Amino acid sequence: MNRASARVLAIAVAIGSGGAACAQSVPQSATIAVTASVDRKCTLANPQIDLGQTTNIGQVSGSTVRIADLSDDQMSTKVTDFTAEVAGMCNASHQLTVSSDRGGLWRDPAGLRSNGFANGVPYRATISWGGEQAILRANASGEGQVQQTLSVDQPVGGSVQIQFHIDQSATNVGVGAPLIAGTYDDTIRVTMGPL
Amino acid sequence: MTAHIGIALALILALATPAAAAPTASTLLQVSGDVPVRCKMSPPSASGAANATFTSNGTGGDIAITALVGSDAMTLASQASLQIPIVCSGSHALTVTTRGGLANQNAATPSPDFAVRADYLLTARWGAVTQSVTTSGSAVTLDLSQGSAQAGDLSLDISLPAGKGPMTSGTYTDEITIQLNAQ
Repeated sequence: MNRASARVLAIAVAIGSGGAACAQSVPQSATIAVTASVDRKCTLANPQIDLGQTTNIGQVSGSTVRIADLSDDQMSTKVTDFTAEVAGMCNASHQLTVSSDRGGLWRDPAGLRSNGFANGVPYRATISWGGEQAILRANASGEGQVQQTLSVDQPVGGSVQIQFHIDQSATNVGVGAPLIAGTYDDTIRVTMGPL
Repeated sequence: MTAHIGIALALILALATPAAAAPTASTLLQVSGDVPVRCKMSPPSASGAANATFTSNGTGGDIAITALVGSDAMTLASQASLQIPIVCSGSHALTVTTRGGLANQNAATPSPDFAVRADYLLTARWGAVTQSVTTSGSAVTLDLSQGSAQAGDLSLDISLPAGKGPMTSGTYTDEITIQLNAQ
């Protein structure tokens, strides 16, 4: 998965005596010093959804997860859960950032409101990586990016686990408000880089 | 000789080494979901009545006019106002249909000197839309449909005027049907 780059910085050759001594019968010795370095780097694969442990999830295609039905018959938000695994590694101390582009699931087009209705759905994403855990709260309190960062002081290889969760009846205008009809979406970005 | 070989090897390795990759990696996850248009209508309640009472039966209700006529068999004024909570999360069709007035259910051979139907003014308000009709014997549908989400009360006012008749004796009934569909 990761191809460490090695660069020969120097190869030094030292011969015990000058070339003219080759014909002499005394023992000869040579020392060759080899040095290399490995760059700090991180890798991330595409997210994989654990289809065995989901609630209210419809079609999953590549990195896109479709929620089966965002609202129930009473027009309230339905509980939704899924877990995404992102294989990755960092070979040095590093920082993992998980961000939400919109700060919640917002109806498209952005900003559309109607009195008495909600047009945003808050969610949280619990991030686990390298023994650390953090929660990204996309509270739909205003449309805009939110992010959460984990700093890890050692190399780690494995999977970033993202547990996505929507509470029952959660909306941007209060618990239980009816959701206005339409398509809601957000993009979660995972970025990892050396410190 | 040995020193020359070492230098050549170093050059080859340097050329074979790929350009350094960007140290930072990123990926993304897109999440989306749909909210279909849904509508919900709650049972009606009375917000006012005169010479009439309203009884809810859970899904609808009954308006009972206390005294349809006075001692001269002419109609007395009566009125009832109902509120029906409705929520629709998108475009919807809403209609209110009357059969056409309070019709006598007992007059098999109506007399030409007596009326067998008590007409009334039906007014329906939903959001910014108001529709009304005075019944005249035929079924009439008021269309209150809207192309966007709406939440609030559908208001129905039923108003019978005084001085119509004289009315044939018997029981008078009508039925008002409210139909709500998400679109």
